[in-house]
Amino acid sequence: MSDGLARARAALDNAAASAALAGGLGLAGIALFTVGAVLADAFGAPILGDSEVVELVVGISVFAFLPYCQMCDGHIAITIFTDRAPVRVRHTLSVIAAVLTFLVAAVLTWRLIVGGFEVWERERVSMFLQLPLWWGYGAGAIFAVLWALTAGFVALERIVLRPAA
Amino acid sequence: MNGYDIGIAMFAGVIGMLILRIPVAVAMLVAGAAGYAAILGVSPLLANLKSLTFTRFSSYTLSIIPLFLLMGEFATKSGMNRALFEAARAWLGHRPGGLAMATVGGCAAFGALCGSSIATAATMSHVAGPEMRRNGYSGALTTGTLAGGGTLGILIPPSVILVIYALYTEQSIGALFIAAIIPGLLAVLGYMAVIRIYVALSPASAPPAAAIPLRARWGASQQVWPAAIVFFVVVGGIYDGWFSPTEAAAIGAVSVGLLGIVQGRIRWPEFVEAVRGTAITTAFIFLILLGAELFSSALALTRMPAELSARIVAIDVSPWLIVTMILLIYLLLGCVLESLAMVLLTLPVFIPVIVALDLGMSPAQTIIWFGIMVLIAVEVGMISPPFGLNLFVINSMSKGVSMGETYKGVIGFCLSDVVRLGLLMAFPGIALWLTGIG
Repeated sequence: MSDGLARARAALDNAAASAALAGGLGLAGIALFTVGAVLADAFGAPILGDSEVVELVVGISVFAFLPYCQMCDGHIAITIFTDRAPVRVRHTLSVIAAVLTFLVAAVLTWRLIVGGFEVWERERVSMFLQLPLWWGYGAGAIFAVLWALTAGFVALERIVLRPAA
Repeated sequence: MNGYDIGIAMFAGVIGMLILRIPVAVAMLVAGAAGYAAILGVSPLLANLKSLTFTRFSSYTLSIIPLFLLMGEFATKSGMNRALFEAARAWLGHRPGGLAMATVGGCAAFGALCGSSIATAATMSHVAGPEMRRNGYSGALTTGTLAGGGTLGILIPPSVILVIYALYTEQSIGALFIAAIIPGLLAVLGYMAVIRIYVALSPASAPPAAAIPLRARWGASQQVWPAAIVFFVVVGGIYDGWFSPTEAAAIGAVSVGLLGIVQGRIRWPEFVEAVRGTAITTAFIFLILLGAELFSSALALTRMPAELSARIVAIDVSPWLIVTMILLIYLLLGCVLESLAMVLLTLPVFIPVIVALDLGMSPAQTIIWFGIMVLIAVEVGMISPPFGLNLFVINSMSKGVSMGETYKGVIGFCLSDVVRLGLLMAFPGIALWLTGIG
């Protein structure tokens, strides 16, 4: 069982790191794009609606960062009140935290996908550039699904791997 | 259960979950969702969640946060932390406690490139910590200085907390950044004074070092130019309205990144590391922002903040006493809560109070001044014994320094912060003067 877990962790670690890198490339690309837009504006050829591109890509990048943060246990929790609790109590709390996180991730992802279908059907677009909103929802949803998977995996891992007490 | 009780229950729920180690963002999302469903029902909640997440993540103004985080990561990877420390050391190193002062100077300069206090403390710990220890500085002075210096990361603009405060209160990000400059410089002076006094009381904690020849000092200072230029372009550009805060952050990230590439310090592996660091921090900040959005909209529905703030304003005491009480609450909360969550959880209640109090300033002035006060109070919380978050980060990075020594070393810095809060309370102009807001 724990052998399977280790393999699943390796695979998810890989996927999450790739997603984070993709998001980072998007973010760096947007930084370059924005500098280009500022320069274009300075030389009298402003790019109208550049902020819509920034919004769209940064939004997708944030979704792309979530799985990696989950696998690295990057979401801040306050531990000082329970640091002296017995190992078993702390383990139980960490299981509860992971299961709650998974539920939150799953519900948010589910609603995001439903919302994405809605903006697709209604053909919602951005104001200036007419960028279809579902692009953002769709790309975000791919990473959100990966996020829900990582959160589910972390919960499972904590339930299965009991601390040696 | 009426709205007021639901509001109180939401707060109780969040605090309960936080104590039981539920991640901050998850606790806010769960309590927010419960409150929202309790007032409007489950289907309106589910309908709201269809667009809430994407709308919150995909925001032009919030894009400034990952861009500033990327800039801070690039600054570390391109060795600016070391360059800034060495430059400050060249000028200050031979004075009593000079290496500690150089650490404060380096932290302040790095804070101008980085919007986070923990990141500043961590990155400066790498370069300044070992140098101080190698030169015989005591553990207490070393970790105390790094903890205090780290808080300059959020006090000196850019600052993630100020960006979020500005967005929440609908004030200009530029005005808040500018308002933080003089308080930030006062913090640097205050910390240097603390070091001077510390060394006078305990000379053994900081053995003297030899002065560096003038020529070498200028040589070390050359390394500072890129950082100084980036700071002035970014903060000055926002202030003068040359470009939007998001554009400024993009320019900062690109120029620091390019500099690192040109100097050969940032290659593919370093780029990947910088991106990963940015990814973790961005993800946890944005999830907290999402939680705060749901929480505060549910809280507004309960009408609890409005009622509570009306009750507070109706108390027949001096408005300054109320401000003092609020700041005390921040100092106390700061000892146990994560700073971002603390600010986001409390603003819905405190901002209406602050605006309703007659403090002799215009509403815009009051909100900007209060933002700087909150920023400092939050910052003290992060370095206050026994729970301050920065203390643990720095202590874990400094081998062979006990937690007790760290507590001892940091107290002076905390006191200097409290003095600065008092000064700003007596003279709000310290924060408001440069902003020119009437």
